[in-house]
Amino acid sequence: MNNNVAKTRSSLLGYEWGWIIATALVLSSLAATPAWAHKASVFAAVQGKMISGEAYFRDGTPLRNAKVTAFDPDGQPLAEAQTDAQGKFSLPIARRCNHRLVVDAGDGHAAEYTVRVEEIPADLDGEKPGTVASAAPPADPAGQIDEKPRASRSVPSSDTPAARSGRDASTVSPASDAVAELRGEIAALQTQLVQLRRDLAAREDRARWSDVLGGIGYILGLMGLAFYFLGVLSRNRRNAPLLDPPRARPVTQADVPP
Amino acid sequence: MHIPEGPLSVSTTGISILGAGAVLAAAGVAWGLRKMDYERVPQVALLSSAFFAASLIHVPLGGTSVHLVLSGLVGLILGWAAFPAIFIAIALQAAFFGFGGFTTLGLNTVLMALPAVACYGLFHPLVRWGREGVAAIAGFACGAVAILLGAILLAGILMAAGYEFRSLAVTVLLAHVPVAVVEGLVTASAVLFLRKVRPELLDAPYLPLEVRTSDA
Repeated sequence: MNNNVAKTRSSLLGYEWGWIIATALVLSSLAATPAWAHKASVFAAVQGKMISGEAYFRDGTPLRNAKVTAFDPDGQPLAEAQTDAQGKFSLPIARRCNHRLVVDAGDGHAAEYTVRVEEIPADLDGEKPGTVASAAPPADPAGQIDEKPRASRSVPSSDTPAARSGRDASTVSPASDAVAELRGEIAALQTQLVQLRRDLAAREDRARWSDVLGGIGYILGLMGLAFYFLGVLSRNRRNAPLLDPPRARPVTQADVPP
Repeated sequence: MHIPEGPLSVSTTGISILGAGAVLAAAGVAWGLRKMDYERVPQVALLSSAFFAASLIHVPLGGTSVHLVLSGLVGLILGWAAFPAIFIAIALQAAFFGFGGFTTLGLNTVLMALPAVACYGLFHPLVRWGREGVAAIAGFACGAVAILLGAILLAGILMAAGYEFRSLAVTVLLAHVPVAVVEGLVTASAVLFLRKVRPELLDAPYLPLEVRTSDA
């Protein structure tokens, strides 16, 4: 045992470079931003008549040349696109329904994002009635039920200006300048909103060291559990053969004398 | 190196691959638990934690960043007990961070634990009993080969699920080469360090199962 300790000491001195490499690795990794590189994410929002968005790994690098497919709630593909060098893409909106966007980088990295039906402007159906008539229009009962009340409430930015401008243009022409101005302001607001939601999504994706610690805590807990069961097991094994013979012996001794 | 749930759950071949992965993982975990005795529980937990945390720590490398997987080191120290260790770490990664997913849990376990056990079989004797230089080279090879085997498995699985080979060769196989190099360096230095400081850690897989009850 003493030999071992002495050997350990001398080797520790001899192998300082091992420590140095380990420390350097840990330090450099701590200095790096705590982000999940190899988990893909996708974010999208409705802009006008298109869905545009971007796909990225969680360390911020874009997902280049990845295939983006939009599915309707039945799983039928609606549209396809490919991301550009910045990971950005845009897709036409075929009809009002939840668009489930699936991004596939081609190497097993995939991500999903759903653009809710409430985000899609209500006047879309009037614009393109026949585009996806073949793809089973009465498909999404849930979406169609809350389509009307929610559209008027939660999407004023994309819904009302378009509808209002249609009405205004036919009746009042002097106000068209004001309408154009308003539309410009709304578009600016919309880009800000998209940026805000993107920031929010990115923030959610950030590393949470508390989760890391929580996971390690789980593993330690499992270790304790394993110890408990192994302890019970070995105690049972030890006790089982010892308990039975003493109980048997007095009985036989009592039986023999008479 | 995690397979997400999307690409495989759509086709029948994909689902059968998932099923096969789950069965293999269950068998490996059961066998690993049988091989795991009282004294090795903390070791398994320690390496499981290291594996769990390693893929969250990123080392910037030439424009992109790589993270350690540590499958080679886990296999080298734990042998078959790498299966339960890696399974637990992957389950927690799926639960906390959404790496992979619950349907791909078995497949991902196999993807990382099988190369770990293979590298244990290939390199453990050299690492333990070889001379210093041999052990360093074997340690490097152990770390690197574990990653490359995992990448080959991953590419094979994705190819079976209908991906194109040419894009896979670049995005999966080539992308893992720098990871393999870093992993090899880390494993080699860890092995040299352990040989000097705690050689009994490298002996652990040889401990017979009965050690825990015989002294009691």
